[in-house]
Amino acid sequence: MNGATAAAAESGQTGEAKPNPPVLPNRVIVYYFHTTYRCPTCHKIENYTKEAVQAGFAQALRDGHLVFQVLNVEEAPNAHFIQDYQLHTKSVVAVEIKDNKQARWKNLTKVWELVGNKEDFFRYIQSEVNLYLQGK
Amino acid sequence: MFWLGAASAFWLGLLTAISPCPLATNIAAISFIGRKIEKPRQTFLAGAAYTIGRSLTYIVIGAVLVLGLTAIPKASWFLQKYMNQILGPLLIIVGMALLDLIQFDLPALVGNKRMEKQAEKSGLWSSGFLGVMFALSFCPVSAALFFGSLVPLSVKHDSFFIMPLLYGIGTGLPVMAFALAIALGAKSVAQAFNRLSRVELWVRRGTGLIFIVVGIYFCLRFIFVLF
Repeated sequence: MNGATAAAAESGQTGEAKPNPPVLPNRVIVYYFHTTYRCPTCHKIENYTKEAVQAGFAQALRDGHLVFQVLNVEEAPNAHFIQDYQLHTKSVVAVEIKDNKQARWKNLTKVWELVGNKEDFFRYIQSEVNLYLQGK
Repeated sequence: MFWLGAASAFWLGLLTAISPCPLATNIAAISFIGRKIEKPRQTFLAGAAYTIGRSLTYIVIGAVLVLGLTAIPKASWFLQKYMNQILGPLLIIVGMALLDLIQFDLPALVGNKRMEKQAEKSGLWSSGFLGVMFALSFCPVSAALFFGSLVPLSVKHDSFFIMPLLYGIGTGLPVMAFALAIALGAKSVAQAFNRLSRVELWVRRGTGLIFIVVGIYFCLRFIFVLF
């Protein structure tokens, strides 16, 4: 996915608080991808991820260095994400954008193993996002 | 390190089984496997057949992925979407057979005493078949843990038989244990009141009802997408 696609996707459905922060050329996006059918565990993963990001990176969310987005991959404009990030089910994916171009991405697959333990889940999301924000 | 991987594969299976997402199919499987309360041995063997059915399914899917016959996202989304749609009507049909609303030439389902040996045999086959169908009906949790964690674990350890096998055992074992516990409990209660065959009849009817309810739930959710 190129930077333009990323920016276009960011203008779609979002879980961000208002007012919307500026779209910076260098940013990290945390996606939660879901389908039309939403299961209880899927809701839990979405809510935990949102909470973990808001609790750990409130300032980065406000100034646009970090963006949290919720997208339905069964909607046609978002279907390409399945191939882009090799999604096999509802997923949390961290993406680093440099100069409006995608530099790297990671599917945070452990969310499914850790969803039973909120603390471990938060620690996992925050440490992975932190690595991306620091460019490590 | 291999043993750590093997333990992880089994743990991933357990995690799948105890998550809320396959709860409906687990309840159906428990009632189906545990319905022969007169014969705990039969319940044990049916539980084993169910677990083997699940394990074989995961081994075959793993092999298909490793041989590169299909890509992981494609297989995962296909199974999650279509197998759950097939499962609803199938569960309703089996439920109706258990309630004697429709007749099948499957002695294990209707409990024909004259064909007891054959019934036992086909009871095992139907439990195995149930294991295959329920394993193929991936829900988000099982898809995430199988395609996202178990397959990479198998690749890492170069183990495409043992890892899926242990994962399958992990998904089937809790079902088997619950079915055995419930069957033994029901047998003790029935024996105490000297009503074994009567209780077994009602257990079979209850199983049929559970299948129909779970089948309707799957139809409403995955075919008609009402909720």
